[in-house]
Amino acid sequence: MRYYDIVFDSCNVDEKVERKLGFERIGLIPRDVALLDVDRKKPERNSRCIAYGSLGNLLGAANMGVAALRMREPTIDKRLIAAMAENGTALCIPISDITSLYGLKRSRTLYKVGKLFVYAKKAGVDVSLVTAAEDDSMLCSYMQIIEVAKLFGAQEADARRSMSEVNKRLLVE
Amino acid sequence: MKEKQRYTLVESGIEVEEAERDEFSLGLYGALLHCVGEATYHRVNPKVIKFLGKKRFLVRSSLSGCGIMTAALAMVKKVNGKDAYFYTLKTSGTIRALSSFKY
Repeated sequence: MRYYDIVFDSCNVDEKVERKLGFERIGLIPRDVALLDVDRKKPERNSRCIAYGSLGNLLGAANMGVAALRMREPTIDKRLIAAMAENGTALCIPISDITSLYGLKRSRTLYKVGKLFVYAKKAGVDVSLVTAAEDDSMLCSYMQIIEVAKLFGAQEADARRSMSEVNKRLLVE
Repeated sequence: MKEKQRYTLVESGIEVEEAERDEFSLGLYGALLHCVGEATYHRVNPKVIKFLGKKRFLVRSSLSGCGIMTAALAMVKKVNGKDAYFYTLKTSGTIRALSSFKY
């Protein structure tokens, strides 16, 4: 299986790092995929970007059919998840939001992300697992992403699919 | 019955000099204990067994705790008070397979 990851362009990523970490390709934000703040700018219909912002504006972005959404806080919003399932919008879960935290905050985030992940899967939303690393210390190998995903309750097959099919769709199509 | 073990090839973000290896290993066990928790640490039972240069080393763990250790290594950001990070590159049942790992 070929895995794909998405990180910020502040990371030092080249072919050697991609191979070392076990990825076919590591896409850069904003070069390969755009990260759009929907509180500032309205997304175009069916645009291939990752939208983030307040829940109300994310709902609008999901209805516009953007490729993926990144939530500021991992909270379950039933209307948003339903809109994402209807429009084929993926839910982007950044692993660096978990690994960069510490102690109780990390445990709480793991719990919330787990709840969100299970709810999204049940609703039929594709989940994209990316590191979204802002520097080299937040990068992870594909094995580490799978094991962190298992911590918040994901099945191994789901985690692998999230990193291969779903991430490839965000990067390549 | 003999416990099944698993070996993991890890790359560190910091360079570890030969004289600092023991101190680094102890610091890493402490960091892993913090991430894994006292209730689970015995199931992982990690041990740094070999250094391959300044940045790479092999960690032995129990077969069932290998996955937890991989996740915990992603969460370790400090060892002995210094900033650090770890990439898990490969796991195997034998040391030989990891020693010859090339990417």
